[in-house]
Amino acid sequence: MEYTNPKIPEGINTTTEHPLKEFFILTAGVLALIAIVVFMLGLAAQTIARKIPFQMELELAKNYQVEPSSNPEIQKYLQKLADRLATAQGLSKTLKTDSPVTVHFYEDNIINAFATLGGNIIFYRGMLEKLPSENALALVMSHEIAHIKLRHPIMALGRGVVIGLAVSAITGASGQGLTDQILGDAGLLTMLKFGRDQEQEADKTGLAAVAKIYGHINGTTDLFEMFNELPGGNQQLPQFLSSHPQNENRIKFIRQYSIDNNLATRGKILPMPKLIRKYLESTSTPTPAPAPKEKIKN
Amino acid sequence: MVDLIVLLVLLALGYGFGRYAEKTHYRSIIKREKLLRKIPAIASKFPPMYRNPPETILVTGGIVISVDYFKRFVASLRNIIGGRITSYESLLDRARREAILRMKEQARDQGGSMVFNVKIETASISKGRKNTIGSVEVFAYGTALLIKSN
Amino acid sequence: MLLTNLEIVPGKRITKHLGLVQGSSVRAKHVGRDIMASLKNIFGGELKGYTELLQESREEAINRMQAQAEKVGANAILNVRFSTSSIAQGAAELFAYGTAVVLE
Repeated sequence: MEYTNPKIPEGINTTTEHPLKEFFILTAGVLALIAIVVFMLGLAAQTIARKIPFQMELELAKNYQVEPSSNPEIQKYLQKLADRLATAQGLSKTLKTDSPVTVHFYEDNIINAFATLGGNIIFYRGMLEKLPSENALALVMSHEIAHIKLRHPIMALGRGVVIGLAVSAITGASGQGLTDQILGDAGLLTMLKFGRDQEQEADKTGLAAVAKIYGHINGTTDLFEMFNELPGGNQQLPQFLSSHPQNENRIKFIRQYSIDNNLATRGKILPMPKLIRKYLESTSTPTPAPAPKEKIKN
Repeated sequence: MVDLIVLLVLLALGYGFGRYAEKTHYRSIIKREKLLRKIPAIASKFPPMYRNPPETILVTGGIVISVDYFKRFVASLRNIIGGRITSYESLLDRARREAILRMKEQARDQGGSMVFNVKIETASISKGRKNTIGSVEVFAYGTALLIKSN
Repeated sequence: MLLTNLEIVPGKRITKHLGLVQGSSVRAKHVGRDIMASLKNIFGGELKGYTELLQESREEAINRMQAQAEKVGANAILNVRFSTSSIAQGAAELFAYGTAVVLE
């Protein structure tokens, strides 16, 4: 008998395909898969969350008790403004409170205002200080009320829970630390899309209410122009990395929306009410300019 | 963002070095296989009958090989979708052929002229770190026949 | 001591079977080698330190198997098999076993 080891041709157990080809196809495929799955899940979750009755949301919100506001006078003014805007948006009273929305005012220099579960709106002094007119203030308030009217806080909660679960499932999938983290981040970036869409919706609804009360929308976009002037305000992240649309895009959108819906763009801009101006003057710090700026950066 | 940069650097390093190492390794494997073709490795259990029974010795060859970052990344993506992990196939192919070559080299050094009942064994030696293949040991062994020319 | 993984030895007769003999060696990886190995995990390629380490451990397992065979009065081990298993992260067992026999 003869024993030999003849030459076996290469490429039977291995592939001759270029490894980079597989790399690019896989990376694109997996990222697309994550984006689609997260998007579908988010959509489903927020659709279901939106169906939760407001009464149940109030029960949920009981766990997130907010502290009482530090300045009852300003609070009262803001609440009155909020009530007017809420009525203009067609929101009715709830069983729990006299008003569909509850405004909480805090004397912090944070430049922010946001709507949260249970019809609560948090308004910071820092935001008030930056607003140039009553019209601009009205748009901020109206925007936050629109979030509540459109049930955005509860939708964000539902979405957050479901997408959080999905992302943690993805993170276990590949079994490798750094890869998992990147894949998880891709999932979270997809989620931001929902936030940007909701901001635009809230801008729309909010703007309509302001036009209804003041008869025009003049002075409202000053707010976003003001944001742009903040340090770092015009060097924003690319839109897909951010939870809000870029300021310029918001201004553009508002202009377009007002043209499409025949909202008057000219009209008298009301200054900030005396009450607020007095309050801001009395509480401003000796060096007011740089201090709040640093806060935003952090 | 920092994560992404770290990942890209590791991928580039893994790809560059891994691909270079694979190419040189395959070249060396093919060259040595040609040289050692005169010592056949046979998986059959029973050697032929000789008038002068040959001496036998156990010969072994082993290698521990590690997968590079690029291949591991591609494989981890494959883990999600499923399918053929081609990046590991070439790795195991190289390791098996290298182990057999080392076994044959040992047989040649001892004066063997063929290796019988070749067994190949594969073990992952860094198990436990999640479900990744870190490094793989391939061990080949067989019985070399020292045939005296009669 | 004659070791082979064949079931017979060409030209020799088995006079006595003495049953299974085995040798095993559990080794932990060296920290320094581990660091080198984790670097290699980026670049890929052969982990020479580990190859040597496993080779040494396997020799130890073979020696132990031979010691068992000597104790039972065998002069050859047939049908030798090896197996490797990682029993914990960073530790591996090398195991060798075979049939101890007496050849004429």
